[in-house]
Amino acid sequence: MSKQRKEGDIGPPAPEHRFERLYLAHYPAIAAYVTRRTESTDDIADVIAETFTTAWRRLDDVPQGDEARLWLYAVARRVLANHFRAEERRSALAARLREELATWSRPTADRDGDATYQAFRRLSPDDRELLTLVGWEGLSSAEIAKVLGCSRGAARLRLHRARKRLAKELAAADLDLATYGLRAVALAEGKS
Amino acid sequence: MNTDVDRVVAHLSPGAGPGMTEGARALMRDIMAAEPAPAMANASTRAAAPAGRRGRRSRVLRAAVPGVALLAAAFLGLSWLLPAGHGLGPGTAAALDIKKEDGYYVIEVKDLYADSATYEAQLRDAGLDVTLKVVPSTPALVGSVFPTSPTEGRYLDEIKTIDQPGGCDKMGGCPIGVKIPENFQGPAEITIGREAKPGEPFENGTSIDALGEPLHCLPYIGRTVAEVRGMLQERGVTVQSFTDMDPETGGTKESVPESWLVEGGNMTEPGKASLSVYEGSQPQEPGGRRGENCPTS
Repeated sequence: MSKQRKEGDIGPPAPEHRFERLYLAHYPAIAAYVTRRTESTDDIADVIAETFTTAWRRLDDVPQGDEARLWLYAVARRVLANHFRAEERRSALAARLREELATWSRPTADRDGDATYQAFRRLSPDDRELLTLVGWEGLSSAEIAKVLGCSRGAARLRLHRARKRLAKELAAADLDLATYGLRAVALAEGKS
Repeated sequence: MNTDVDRVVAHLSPGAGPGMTEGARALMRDIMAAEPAPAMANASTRAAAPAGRRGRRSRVLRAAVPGVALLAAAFLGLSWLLPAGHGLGPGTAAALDIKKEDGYYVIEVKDLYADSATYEAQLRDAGLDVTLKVVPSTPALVGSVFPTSPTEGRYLDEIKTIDQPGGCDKMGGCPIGVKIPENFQGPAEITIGREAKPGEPFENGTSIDALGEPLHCLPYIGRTVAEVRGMLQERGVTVQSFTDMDPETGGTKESVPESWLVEGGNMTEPGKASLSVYEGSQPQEPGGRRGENCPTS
């Protein structure tokens, strides 16, 4: 057993060790969250850098386990909200990341002509935020409550209302969709 | 409707970006290099903090413990090699095996059912100001070790566990021993998870889909009570109680309509579970814990 002990021995969770774990475990989710909500790749790099710098500074406050991811979402959300008020700031930290992101070709979907997207855009930013936390990040209402810092009940209710409003918008957009569909058929048949 | 609407939104998702790149790794190193390491004095009291807030719902520490156990799994590689034969009463043999090795006390629990006083006496004789509690735990936490300081209210990094080499199928980890530095002043309170006897309520538990628990990796969140009841039945588990999540009318209930939706759950005693539920209009896209340990579909 003493040999095994040497092999399996794990040192104390030094801050560096813990941060590394945290970073490697949650970077992809947090980077995706930021990327989906930010247009400029420079901003993406900055927001990611600031989010994780905050986590490093406040490592003591970061909860353990999966809760850490929700905590990081909440930080990224605040950084995003503040970032647009200080766009001239460029983090010196994320130079390499910024370079990489600049060469990364973001898939460009032409969503402007998409009636669904338009219906979604007509919702309030609050509604969009709730719906995307579910649809893009896959969070449950309980998890959303943690990210937004509200009660579970409130998150559930707000989410329910947001879903209803989008459903209504989509229903209203059906006409547009149908028109678009007919036009497409007409084009395909060479009638227009 | 929920499912459809959520799917529509999901389809609108812009790209997630290039993921963990070299630049991302460089950023991690840069962040740590740019500023001194933060103090981590209270790293673990935070993990335990939600216990008080959620205590109302259940006496099982289910909300607090996932954090605790993940901490253990991630940073200490916890757990315990449970002796195959136990059941010796206190006093018939040493409850603990305590050895000094390389500047550490290496402790192994020989009798998991001894009372705290027996452990304490033995630890005191060895010169250690340590309280040991062996508590009935849900499967994921059987063998988990959690050392805290009763005076400073923090997780004790100084007390280390020794991980079993190889894979581990429990959230609380699979350790084979615990080490306390010889110069450790104490006091310390170490909680170790053991199996519960039939009918014995778990005192230490975690979410029902955690690694090692019955619904691990199964999408049960958002399903109806009837559906989840069936999933549990297939695994030999019956639903003992419900926690109605409604902030006003909620609380523990013996029964709720089968059409209600499930938001969470935990094992209460061997073969029995409690589900957190709410009155939802229609089932949501079934979800579950998205963990590193679940196969990706």
